[in-house]
Amino acid sequence: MAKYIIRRLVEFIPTLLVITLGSFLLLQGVPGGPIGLYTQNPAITGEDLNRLEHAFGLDQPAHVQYLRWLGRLLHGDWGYSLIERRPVLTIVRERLGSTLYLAGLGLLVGLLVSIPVGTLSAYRQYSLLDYVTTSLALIGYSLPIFWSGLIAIIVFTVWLRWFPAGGMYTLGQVPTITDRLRHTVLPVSVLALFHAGYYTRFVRASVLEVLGCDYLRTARAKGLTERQVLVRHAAKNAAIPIVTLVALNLPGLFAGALFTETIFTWPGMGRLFWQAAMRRDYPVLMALVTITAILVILSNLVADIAYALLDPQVRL
Amino acid sequence: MDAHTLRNEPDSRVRRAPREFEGVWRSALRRFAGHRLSLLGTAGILVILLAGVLAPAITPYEPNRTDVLNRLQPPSAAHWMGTDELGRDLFTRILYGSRISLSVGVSSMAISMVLGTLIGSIAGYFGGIFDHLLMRFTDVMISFPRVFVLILLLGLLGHQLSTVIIVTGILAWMPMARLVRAEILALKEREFILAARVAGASPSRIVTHHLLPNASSSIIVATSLGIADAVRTESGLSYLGLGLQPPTASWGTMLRNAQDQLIPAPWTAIFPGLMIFLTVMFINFIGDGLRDALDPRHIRSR
Repeated sequence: MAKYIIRRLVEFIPTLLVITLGSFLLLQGVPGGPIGLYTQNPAITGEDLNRLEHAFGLDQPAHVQYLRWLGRLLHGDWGYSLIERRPVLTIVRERLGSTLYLAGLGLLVGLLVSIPVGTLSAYRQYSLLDYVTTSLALIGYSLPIFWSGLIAIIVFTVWLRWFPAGGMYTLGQVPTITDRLRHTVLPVSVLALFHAGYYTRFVRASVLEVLGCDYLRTARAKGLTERQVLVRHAAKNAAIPIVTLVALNLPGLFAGALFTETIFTWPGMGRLFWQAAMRRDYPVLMALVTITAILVILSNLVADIAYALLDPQVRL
Repeated sequence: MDAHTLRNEPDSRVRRAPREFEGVWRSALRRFAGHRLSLLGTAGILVILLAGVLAPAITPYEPNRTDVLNRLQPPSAAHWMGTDELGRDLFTRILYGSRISLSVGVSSMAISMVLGTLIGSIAGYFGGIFDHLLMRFTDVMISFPRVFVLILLLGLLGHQLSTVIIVTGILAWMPMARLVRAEILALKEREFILAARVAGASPSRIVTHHLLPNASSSIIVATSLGIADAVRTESGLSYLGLGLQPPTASWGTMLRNAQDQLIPAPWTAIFPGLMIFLTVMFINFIGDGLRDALDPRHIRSR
């Protein structure tokens, strides 16, 4: 096991290098750099532009710029935002918390709905309840977040005036818990609806798979109570695919956050990425790509380890 | 043996299956037709497809003709879904928009299916160094944050329809490659493949004539669900302003414009999004039905 983890962590390094180099070259290829903003300004001369380019190190060839970036990263220096003139790490740290709060809560609520509903649906297979939940789950999963979010705003903000349309706090007020919660309800519900639809189908399928297995009959035959059968034998085995799936989908939370944060003007990583891409803020973009890539690779590893821990048949 | 006698035999399916290859597909078709949601999905997609094809015959308006005197009109007899901020008829733009969504969905998924099948079969069949290199490459591609690459590539290459299709397609082949590789690994040591190899069939013949046909049901299911994903990706990109550019009538672009007028004209947000939702849902219904009809392992668990 330990050997396996070490081997995977070693493979991690070339993957990360390829990804960061690829992203860096892609950034170089896109027309209009961070300096582009200044060319519109008549007060800035061509000489100033050259000086800025030199100061930012943008006049160097691409491979030199990449190696410099990598070298600084190895010392824990993620660079400075070209637009905000602040350390990238500070900016990311400000935003990371609010994204984790939003995306984590959305996933949590989604799972809290889908696990009981999916299990019940599997128990009553082919009943009316099963039919209704499987259909609803497919509908929830098919709802694009960028539409369900807008509809939620139209209904609950414009028509009913129950919840604010966006942001994390009411501006110019002392932040309170109730204010924070009122801002949380809509974006979290929209996210949770999507996750609930997605996971209910998998929970149902994996519970059904387990219910048909011989070892449950064996467990009942040896005189265990139904409760013991469910908790000790069924739940654990049904959890294996779900845990793996959740771990594999963790990085996708960031992509989902891009839409949710755009609609609800939530100050998180998704919007940070968006602003940085629009303004060609290279250091911020590179930091976000690197962090996301690390998350993807780590969650793949976590999924495999969780799989091995839960299923004794799997040897790593 | 006619259908009537078959039906009276308790294990008719077991006895018929090895007799003729076509029977597998016919019974799959029967199961698909017995699946209510998949029939609904098929009907829905056909309606949306026809609406797009026949758009000029259905609506008297032009999709990009502006009419500033009739801006932001609510739905009425003249404008079934109302008008947008430039007075364009929303129903007309919705009809033309289905051409874009469906063509992006199908064409980009075709690209990723071909790429994924090619890479997956080479890795699975030849194994060894090919397998290792191709799968590491697949891992790297999966680890790239997709939204990021989409945004940058579209910024680099422009926002034409063909670019959106190709870029979406080449960023979505990885799950297909893994699936095809796994299927081929499971099949390639089976007797009928060994027999084909002994008979002197070339690797490309074994892959195209023996392995892929046996993996086809998984490929079909994954493809149908991938189309839904591609439709969602295109409209999401257009919603962010990165897909097709105005004045093209794309549902995502229409939704983007609607954001600024949610209060005076909520219908400009409701209808385009509803179409994205319905299209994705209908395709998912079809994919679900196909899975039940084609995947024997799945039937057991349903």
